[in-house]
Amino acid sequence: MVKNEKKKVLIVDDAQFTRNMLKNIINKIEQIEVVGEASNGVEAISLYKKLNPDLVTMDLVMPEKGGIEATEEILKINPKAIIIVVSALGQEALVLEAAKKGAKDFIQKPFKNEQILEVMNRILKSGE
Amino acid sequence: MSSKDDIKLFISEAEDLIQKTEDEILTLEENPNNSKPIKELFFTFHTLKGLTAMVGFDNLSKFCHHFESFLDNAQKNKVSKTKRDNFIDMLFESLDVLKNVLNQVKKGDMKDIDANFVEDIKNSFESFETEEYDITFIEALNLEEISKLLNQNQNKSFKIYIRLEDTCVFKKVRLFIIFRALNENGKICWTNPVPEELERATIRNDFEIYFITKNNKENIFQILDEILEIENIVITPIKSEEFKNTIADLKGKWELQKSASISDDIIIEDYDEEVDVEEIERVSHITEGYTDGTVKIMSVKVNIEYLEELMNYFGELVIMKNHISQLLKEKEDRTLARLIDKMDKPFLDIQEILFKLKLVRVESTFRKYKRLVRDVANETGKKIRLILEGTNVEIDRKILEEINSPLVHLLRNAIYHGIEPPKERIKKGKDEFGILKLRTYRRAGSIFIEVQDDGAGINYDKIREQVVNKGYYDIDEAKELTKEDLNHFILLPGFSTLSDADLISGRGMGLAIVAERIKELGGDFSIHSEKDIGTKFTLDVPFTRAILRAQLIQIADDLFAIPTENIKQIYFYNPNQVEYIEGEQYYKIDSKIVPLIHLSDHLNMVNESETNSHKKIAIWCQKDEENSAVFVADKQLQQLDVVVKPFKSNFSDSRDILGSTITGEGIICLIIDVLSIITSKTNEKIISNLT
Repeated sequence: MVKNEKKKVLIVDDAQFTRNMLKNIINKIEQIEVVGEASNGVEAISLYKKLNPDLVTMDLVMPEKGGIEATEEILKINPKAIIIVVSALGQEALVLEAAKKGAKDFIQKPFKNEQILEVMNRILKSGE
Repeated sequence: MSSKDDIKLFISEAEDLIQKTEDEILTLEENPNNSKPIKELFFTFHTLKGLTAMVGFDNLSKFCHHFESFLDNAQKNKVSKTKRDNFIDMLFESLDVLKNVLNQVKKGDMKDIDANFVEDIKNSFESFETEEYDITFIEALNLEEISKLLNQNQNKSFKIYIRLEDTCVFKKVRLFIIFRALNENGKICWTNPVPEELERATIRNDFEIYFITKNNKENIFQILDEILEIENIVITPIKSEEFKNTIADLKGKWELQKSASISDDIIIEDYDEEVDVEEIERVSHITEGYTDGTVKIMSVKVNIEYLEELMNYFGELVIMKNHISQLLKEKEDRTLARLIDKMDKPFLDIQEILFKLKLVRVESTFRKYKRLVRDVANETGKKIRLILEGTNVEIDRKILEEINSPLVHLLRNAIYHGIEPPKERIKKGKDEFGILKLRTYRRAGSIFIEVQDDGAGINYDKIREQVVNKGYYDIDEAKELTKEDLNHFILLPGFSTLSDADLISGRGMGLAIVAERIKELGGDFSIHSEKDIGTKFTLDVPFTRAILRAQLIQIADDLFAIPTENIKQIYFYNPNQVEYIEGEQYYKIDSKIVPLIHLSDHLNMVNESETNSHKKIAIWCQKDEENSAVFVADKQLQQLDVVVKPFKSNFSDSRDILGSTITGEGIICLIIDVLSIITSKTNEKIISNLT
């Protein structure tokens, strides 16, 4: 990895509000940059191909194409893709499904800022 | 479109099925661990699915289909306690949906249910299923495979302790992610709690993983450190031998726990979370030989109804066998008679096994008292520590059922009236926690159950007052009465009334009823109490009844039986040995003087064919060292194994009758409860001595 190059994050969520929140938190980390936002699975896949991010935050319930399918397809493109599920409470079944499909970890909504920061730090540290 | 006749048929069939569904749901509600209703429900919904589709109710059919597949899952997996109520509610609701449709159809309205509704049902089932019925993500290895792995080059074994953050909600997914990460880098061999439990994710926040890997400690730590929601990780390297032994040990305990809970299931399934640890440890070394992965199934689950039936059939066999041997004696066919006699041994053996089948550990019922005591203590604002002792004592299931309510009564009373409120206890210099002890032990053919509290004790002064007030005795004489004398009064029905709430700490009518109940069971009830030290109630109940060895006797023209276990000796009756003391008859045996009871008088029998008194027999029956009596009957007949049937009578005092039985000749014969007669005689005497 080239030094000084920031790590790229793609945010996938159908709610603008959530996307903004995530973006604000993530952009606080110096070495990380949010490079794209997708509001459904279809967009997520095409943006992934285009941007090749280091990490994807993935909502599960979205119109057009859900997060589980998107996770599956992204991992087909890149089996080493790091996908972190960001899901609402009460969706344990879906989260498990996503984990089985290969999502790396998960965070529940509503999330705390520190949680997001922790995930970013931990996961990106491991990639070094 | 279906014809009118088709619709009629549909209505009647659907009505039947709905009725059946309702019955099964109710059965399930009563006993949620019974898998039979689920199976039945599965079939009824399956049939309903087909039926509704035929008449053109596509949505309703789908609705039934979702229930069917859900029930199919539920058959294979256990529904957790928390989900159970929800589950049953849903079943009831589904029933109402079906009923509504059917009612409409009856009115001629063939309207199907809404498709959205079906979708809702489907979704709610999905949330159910995925939470409850899922995955196995730990592939537990058997010991052989573990040994193989350990022998591989560079493989090291570790125990990993993991504690999740308290805020972790999706434990199942969290566990999945942890296990996946580990299994990508090695092999999980076993877990504590066991994999089965872990996967249900009903664990506390911490657990241990037994892990084999080529990685070192630091690598493992790194792998786990990437995972969120982990609060603490402790990685301990373990030597191969110890690793194997620990796993073998854990597996052994687990198997035992499983088989223990299976045998407990025979009666009460509700308390499966607690298992007698001592018991497991005690037995675990025995089964060590089996812990190599090929664990033998040590017990099976049997419907209690089958056991009851088996007992009844065996009972009938005993009666028939007695009949045959009786006939053979009359015919004097020695060869056959000998053969029949030889049957005694297998009969006895079967009888013994049947007894054992009927036995359950008192624990199965007594465990429930923890909750009871807790609730009553809260209710009364008292602090109680309940101690259960001897919970592994086994007793006849029937008897256990019957002593339940007397025990509940005693426990409640002990908390309400025995144990003092915390403040009062502190004033008295006692610990603010009252001790309530339920102790069970076996002696001879009896089970003894003690309910002991360390409360205020019985106020005997007040009982003396009451004895005087009720006119049993005058003040001076009442002073002479011992506690034992006074205890007899406590147990007299109606001796104290509800208005004497504080008399004997409020233990009024209730105790008389408890004593009565225990006596009905052929047991005994006694009281020991010390002021401010506490009270101990002792129940002494037979540990089984059903088949008894009995001595048949004739009184006047009728047959009676006395359990041989109560008989000390049988003599020819000799009128010269009778002594009269204060108008009461006693019988002299060696140097002893024993109360004499003429059974024909006692049972109010009219002796039409007056038997010669010198032909009579005197049966010496003993209750315990101090209490015995001689019973006079007219004739001694044979001894038999008899099947005791409960006996209820309106026309005589059935307290003297233990039960009834049918002899080999098919004659109904009453079994005399000599112990009860001895007890009431001694009580009478104490009271008559007083008055």
